[in-house]
Amino acid sequence: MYFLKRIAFAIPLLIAISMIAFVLVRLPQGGPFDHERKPASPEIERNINARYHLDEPVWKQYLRYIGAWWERDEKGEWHHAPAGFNASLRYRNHAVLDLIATGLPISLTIGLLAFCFSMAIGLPLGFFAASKRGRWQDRLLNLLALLSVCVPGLVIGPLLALVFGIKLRLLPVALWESPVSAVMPVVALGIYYSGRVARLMREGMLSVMQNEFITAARAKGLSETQLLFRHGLRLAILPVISYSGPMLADLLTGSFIVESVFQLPGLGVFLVNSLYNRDYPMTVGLVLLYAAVLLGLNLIVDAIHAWLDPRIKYG
Amino acid sequence: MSFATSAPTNLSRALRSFRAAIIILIGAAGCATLTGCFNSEPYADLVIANGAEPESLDPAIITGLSEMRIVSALFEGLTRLNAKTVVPEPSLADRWEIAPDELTYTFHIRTNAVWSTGEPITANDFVYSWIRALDPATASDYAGQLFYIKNAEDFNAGKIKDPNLVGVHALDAQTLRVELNHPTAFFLDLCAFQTLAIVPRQTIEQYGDRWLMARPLPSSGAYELVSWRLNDKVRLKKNPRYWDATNTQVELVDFLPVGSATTALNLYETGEADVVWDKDLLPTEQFDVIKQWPDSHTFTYLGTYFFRFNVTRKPFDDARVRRALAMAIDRDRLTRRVTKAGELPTDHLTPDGTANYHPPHGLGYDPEQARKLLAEAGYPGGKNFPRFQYMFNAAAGGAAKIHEKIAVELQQMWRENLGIEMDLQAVEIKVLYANQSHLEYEVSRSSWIGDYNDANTFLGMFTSDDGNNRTGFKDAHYDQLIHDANMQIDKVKREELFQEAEKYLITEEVPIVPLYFYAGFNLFDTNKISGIYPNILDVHPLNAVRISRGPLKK
Repeated sequence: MYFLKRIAFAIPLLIAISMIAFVLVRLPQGGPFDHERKPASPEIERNINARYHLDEPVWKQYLRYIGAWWERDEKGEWHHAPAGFNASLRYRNHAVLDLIATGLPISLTIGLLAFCFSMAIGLPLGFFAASKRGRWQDRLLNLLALLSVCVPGLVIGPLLALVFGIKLRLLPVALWESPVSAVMPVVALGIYYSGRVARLMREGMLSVMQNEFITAARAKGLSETQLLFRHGLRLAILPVISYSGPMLADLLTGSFIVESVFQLPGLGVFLVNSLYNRDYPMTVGLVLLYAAVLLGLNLIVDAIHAWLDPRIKYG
Repeated sequence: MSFATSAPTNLSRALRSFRAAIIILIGAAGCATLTGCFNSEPYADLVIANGAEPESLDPAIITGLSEMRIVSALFEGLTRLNAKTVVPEPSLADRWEIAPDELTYTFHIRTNAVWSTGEPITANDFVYSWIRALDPATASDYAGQLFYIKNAEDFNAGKIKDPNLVGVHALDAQTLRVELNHPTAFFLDLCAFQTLAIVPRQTIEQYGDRWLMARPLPSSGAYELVSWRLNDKVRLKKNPRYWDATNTQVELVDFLPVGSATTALNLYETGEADVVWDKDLLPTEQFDVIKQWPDSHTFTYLGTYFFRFNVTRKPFDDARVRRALAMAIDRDRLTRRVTKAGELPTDHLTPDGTANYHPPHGLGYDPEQARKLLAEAGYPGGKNFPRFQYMFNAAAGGAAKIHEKIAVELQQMWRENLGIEMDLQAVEIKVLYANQSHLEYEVSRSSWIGDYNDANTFLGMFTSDDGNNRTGFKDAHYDQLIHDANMQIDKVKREELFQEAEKYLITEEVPIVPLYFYAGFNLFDTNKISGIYPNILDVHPLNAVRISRGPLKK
């Protein structure tokens, strides 16, 4: 019931987000068709604006955008205006949905792989660090985790390309051509998150291990390994799970930096460029996609929470 | 402790599920990676790092250079530009007659000209394509390239509804007659311009806006479109039915859209790209090194970097102030310290080497005279001169970073030579264009790339009504000179009129101050590739390119 309500609530939320985004993208100066070169006559500009209905008031454009607009033709007959969300103003021969459909699989692949990468690296390292709390292994891992969080993809990406692509010639420097093309982008994207996951895992472990039931279990004579694995891990992973929702949303919707460094045809490049290009329908479309993914993943994360931790009850 | 007792079963179940979830995720990602995402295509014979992702491949829609480089290979017009000299030469029209008054052109379409899908190319294809580009519903940005044709502008503005009134008619399948408004010395150059190229009527009528996704896509140029994947690549293959197919060598060509400067360089260094078309694709920081490579080829081309004054704002409404600021600039310093790629400093707007034209000299570096002018205007030693703002588009990196460096140099030179102060105002590029259009600036950076090889593409833009004026400069004398020059059939007189106009523009009125000419730049190995010639339009027709080795081995 609770989850049904959450899903029902998501729809008005998405509509509100689309409205806000629709207005916000129009606030910065300059329009999609402002170029270094002005067209030869003001009529050309008028034709372009009329074609994409940019000459109409924003509320009217919005109604047209969501497909809730009817207009009268020359004969006085009413016609439903087709929804305007699907025409890119930058890539005029492409529909926004097509653009998203071409970029999404690539961003999904890279994002999922990066997610697995950061979990596979972060979870064991965080667990190990917590078990060696205060010793040199813990401090070294902490330092590494901190480094991975602090050094941005902007630095890691080109660095990886330089070492593995140019110097060692082990991996392709860019482009999306074969499975090995994914290796460097996944590492560049995942390394930051693996640091975050490791730190969250370590903190989670440490705070769980201070609980009374752990002391009780220890008093009952359970070995330290049993304690960590059986009783600690289950609760310690909760912060990581909470974080994995927004993290996965971030990863799945693409990264501008990693995609542009490795020349990948994903969604991240589209989002940033659509803002610069004032490609309004494209930006709003991507914002909605991101919002939907985020809402969906948060829902899943909450469900996993309820299932893993009997103390949590929604209702 | 109910929790402790119930834990083991729940925990192991949770852990198992968690593990299972991760395995499923990895599996799913792996499958996705291996199946749908990669395209097993043959390697291209030639891979070109081309610049931004093309906005479109529709000749009527495109505005940018990176699009034109692809589109000119797909769709051709009556003429095409010679790869070496960029002089228009016969293409789909093999000959033409020009009436003595230069108002009527009669073109004869090649009898062996066919679309890549086999249908003959006729004069009607030209009528259709040109009317389509002019049609208000097409919303073509570059429709102005056709405004030299009789009634074309009125048709585009919706003042005339009947396309038959526009001065382009098919006399028969092989003959096209074009009537112009006034003599247009560069009309044959325009005929090679993409907006005037022909597009396939049936496909467009069938598929509408999505006609470029149709396969096979009929093309009229040396190449056919194989695939176009956004932010990935555009792939072309040789069109065996092109009228000049025997002189086209390269079979399969990939154009890569490259978003980041280091990526283009990485691709070139690892042999994944054979050609980097221009300097904007490479990191300026490394340009000192790159230009020493034997693979670098630089040349002057038809582009000028300049800045605009808003002549409607004080103190820039005074021509003496504008002249003073122009004369306080040491342009050598800009090209030596900032641009570094062999750009030529200039005091005139129209580049040297423009066809049928020798530009006059403008205001050189003369700080003494500059100070005198500023004092005359009421600001001796820069006293009381209001602090003003210099607007430019900011960039985090790449070639556009140059604008900021130039602004800093100008700031220093004006401070040292004139004792005046300016602030740097960095804005996003669309904001810059919007502000220029609305005259919401004081001084701002600009540049202009010639559309065709003629002085008019530079000088025409500062007439009072031109949309590209963007300075507030309105001058009847200047308008008259440009008008007279364009009416002139006599080449020598035409040149003289243009020279007079330019002299007036850059030494008297000075609404703009030219700084340097762009350097064209190509990166390719001459041992492997030939047929890319340095020329003033930076145009390198694909059909002229030759490669001397097999497909890329990776």
